Amino acid sequence: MKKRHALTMTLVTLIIGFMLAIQFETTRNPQKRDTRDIWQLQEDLAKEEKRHIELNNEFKETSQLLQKYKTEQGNQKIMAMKEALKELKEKAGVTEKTGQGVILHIRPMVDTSLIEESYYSVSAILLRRLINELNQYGASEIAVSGERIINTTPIRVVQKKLFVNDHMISDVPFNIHVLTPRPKDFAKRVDVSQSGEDLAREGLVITAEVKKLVKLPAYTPNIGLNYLHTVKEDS
Amino acid sequence: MWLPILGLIIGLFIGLFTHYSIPEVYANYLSIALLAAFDTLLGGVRAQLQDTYDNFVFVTGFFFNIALAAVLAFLGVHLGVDLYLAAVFAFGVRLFNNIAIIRRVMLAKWKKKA
Repeated sequence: MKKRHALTMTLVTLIIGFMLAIQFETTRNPQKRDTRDIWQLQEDLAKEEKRHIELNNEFKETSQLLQKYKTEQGNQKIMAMKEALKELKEKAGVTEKTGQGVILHIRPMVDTSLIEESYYSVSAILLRRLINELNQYGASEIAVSGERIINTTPIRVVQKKLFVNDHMISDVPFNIHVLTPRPKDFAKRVDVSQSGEDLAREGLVITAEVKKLVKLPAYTPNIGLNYLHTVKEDS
Repeated sequence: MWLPILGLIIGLFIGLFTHYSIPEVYANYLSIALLAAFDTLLGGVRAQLQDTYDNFVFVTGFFFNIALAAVLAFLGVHLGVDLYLAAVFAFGVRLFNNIAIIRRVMLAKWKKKA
C-alpha cells in the first residue's frame, strides 16, 4: 500500500469511526423530550422553591454554627461541638424527645370479644404508607408501638408478624406517637387520610388524640454505617 | 495496514469521549450514511487487493455515496416512500459482494504463499 493511499484510508476510517461513535451515542442516550404540562411544571417549580427555602435554612443554620465556631475559643469550641453533636443525635433520633403531638390509636372496628384479636393485622405496606402519609401531614418524629422511626428503620413482616426496627410490634390494638408542631390540624388530616380508608378495609379504625405532651423513646439499636463513606471537599 | 485501523479507533475514541450526539430524528440519516461509508471503505480495500485502486475515485466515492444515501433517505421521508430501504438494499448487497471478493483474494494469496 502506498503511503498516500494509506493516509487517505486512515482519514476515511477516522471519519467512519467518528460517525460510528456518534451513532452509538445517539442510539444509546436518546434525548428525552420534556412533556410536562403547565400544572406539572408549576408543581415542580413549587417543589424546587420549597427545596430552595430548605437549603437556604440549612445554609443559615450551618453558617451560624460556623460563626459560633469562629467566635468561640478553647473550651467554648468544645461546647459548640458538643452542642452540634447533641443536635445531630437529636436529628438522627437516638435521643428521647418530648413535645406537643398526637397519639394515634389503631384498633379493630368491631367488638373484639366476638372475634379473636390475632385475626386483625396491619401489613408492612400499609404501615409504610401510613408513615409516609404522617410525614406528609407534618409529623416531625414518629414512634410505632414504642419503636422510634428513623430514616433507616426497617418495616417488615416475618412469619405473619409485623417487625419495626427488628422488634415485633404487639398485635392490634397499638398506638403510634407522633410529634408535630400543629397537632390539631394533624389530627384532622389523619381523620380524612387515605390510610384511614385502607385500614378500614382491613377492619381497623384509626383515631387521633391530641396531646400537649407526647414522649417518644429513643432509637436504641446501632445505626449501621457500613455503606457510608466520607465525601472529599472538592467533589 | 495498521494505520487505517488505528484511524478507526482514534475516530471512535474522539466520538465517544466528546459525548456528541445528534437529534434522534437524524439518526436514520446517519445510519444510512454510515452504511454507505462502510461500503466505500470495503470497495477501497477490494480495489487495493485487486490493484485497481485510485485514490481520487475512492475519496470522491466516499463523500458522494454518503451524500447520496442521506439525500435518498431525506427524499424518502418527504415523499412518504421508504426510499432509504433502496439504499440499505443496494449498499447491503455491495457490502457482501465486496467482503466475498476480499475473502477470495486473500484466500488465493494465502494459498500461493503456502
